[in-house]
Amino acid sequence: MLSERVLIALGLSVSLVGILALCLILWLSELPVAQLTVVAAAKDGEMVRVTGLVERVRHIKNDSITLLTVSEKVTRNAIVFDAVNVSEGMTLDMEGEIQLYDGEPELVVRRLETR
Amino acid sequence: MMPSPVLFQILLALLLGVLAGIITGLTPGIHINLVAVLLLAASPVLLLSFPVLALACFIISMSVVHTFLDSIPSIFLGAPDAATALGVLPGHRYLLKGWGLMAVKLTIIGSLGAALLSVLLFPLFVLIVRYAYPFFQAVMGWLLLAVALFMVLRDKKRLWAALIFLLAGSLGLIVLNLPGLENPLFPLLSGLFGVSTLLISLNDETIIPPQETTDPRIKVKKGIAIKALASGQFSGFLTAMLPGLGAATAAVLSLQITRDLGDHGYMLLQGSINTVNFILSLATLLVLGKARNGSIIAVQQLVDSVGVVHILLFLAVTLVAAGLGAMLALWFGRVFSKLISKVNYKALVWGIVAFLVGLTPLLSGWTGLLILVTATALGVIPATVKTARVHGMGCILVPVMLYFLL
Repeated sequence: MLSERVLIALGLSVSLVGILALCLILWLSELPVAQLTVVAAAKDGEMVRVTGLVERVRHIKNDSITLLTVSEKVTRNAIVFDAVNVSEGMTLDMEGEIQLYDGEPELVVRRLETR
Repeated sequence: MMPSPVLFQILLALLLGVLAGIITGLTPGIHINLVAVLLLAASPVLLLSFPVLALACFIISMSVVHTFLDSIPSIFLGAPDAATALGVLPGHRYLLKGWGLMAVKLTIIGSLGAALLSVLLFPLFVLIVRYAYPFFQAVMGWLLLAVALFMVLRDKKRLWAALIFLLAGSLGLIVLNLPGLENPLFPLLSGLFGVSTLLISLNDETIIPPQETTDPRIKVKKGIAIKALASGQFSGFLTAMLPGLGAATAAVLSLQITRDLGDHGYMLLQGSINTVNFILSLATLLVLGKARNGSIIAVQQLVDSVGVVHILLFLAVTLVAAGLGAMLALWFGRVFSKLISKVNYKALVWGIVAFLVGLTPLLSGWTGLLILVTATALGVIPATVKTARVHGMGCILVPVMLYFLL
């Protein structure tokens, strides 16, 4: 009924279908890069992806939280609940959720990449 | 379209997960839950280099590959004497006839078929879980009690079955409520189903015949294959819906509906249940936000709120891991077939027992060792009185049942 060759071919096909599906899902689900101004305009809880230049870095609570000030044409605050190795002058690609802090919208960074 | 760096990180995590799945699948006693817990503990460091999704994909691929490979040690190890072969598990019957590779191949077909069917039927399962779970939840304790009674009453040796079930249940209640005990399931399940089975096989004069290693073309009637895969989906669905219900118990229940599967059909079913259970536990995670096994608990703790996109990604990872798992299981099955009749079987079994005993104090302390000895003593009884080992699952079923009933 099923030879080993058929079983291996089936295994390979299933893996390839999975990889294609993986690429497609990641491609379709990626958030478009938005202007930093969206941080001010976005609703509380909304997910955004922005790119900006690091102007100021502060580590607090034993380096467990990193506070960033990033700018493009406007300047916005972002918070990373982790110690991240970034310094002023770097350009960052950040993805995260908008949360209100002291009435001001702030980006809570979930994913961060340097450019 | 530029390939996303996240894609490479996920693929790398997936491959590392496959490696971890090989280790957990082939090593008796090393469970995916253990690796998932270690990964969670190391996640603050790992998250500096990998995105959360990659860590979750590691766990998914490890768990899927594990379900393809875990049948190999259960087929090749713990077989009793050929003279008592009629009373042993079907996998061991194949081994004692020299058809260990054929048994592995049947479980691979079952697992791969189950993975494809489960992914295809996933939307249907989401709907069923959404609308059927409130009913199940309302009567969960009673359903589990009915399952326990059914398992005991169908046994020809009901008194022994009831005694083993209750003793295992009492042991489970004590162990799962011991304060400060880490990894309580490790010594409990290793003793009831691992060390005890291995010790019994040592007591018998087991001679493993040379194994057939040429490509075993398997003839399974289409009807049997369809019935076995359907039973697998049903059993996996039961284990995903009813907490505390193990794969062996679910198999017994579904065999009541699809009778006369034969040994080939049973091996297909055995291969499919754990794979279905794992994939469908993603449905319960999506719909109910409830984790049904240790791996899914780890995924839940890593990913804040699991949404449809996450689940689609996990299903894609499942397909990749299933395909790789099938090929790896075939390769390892052949390696085991060649080696099993050449190695000193008794020395191998003693080595595994020593490994499990040595690992217990490390994972669960000295109390764990006491639990391992007690559970092993209890696990020896079913084989001695010739009743089903599945009654030992009372160790989980009873505490879960009481949680819902009291």
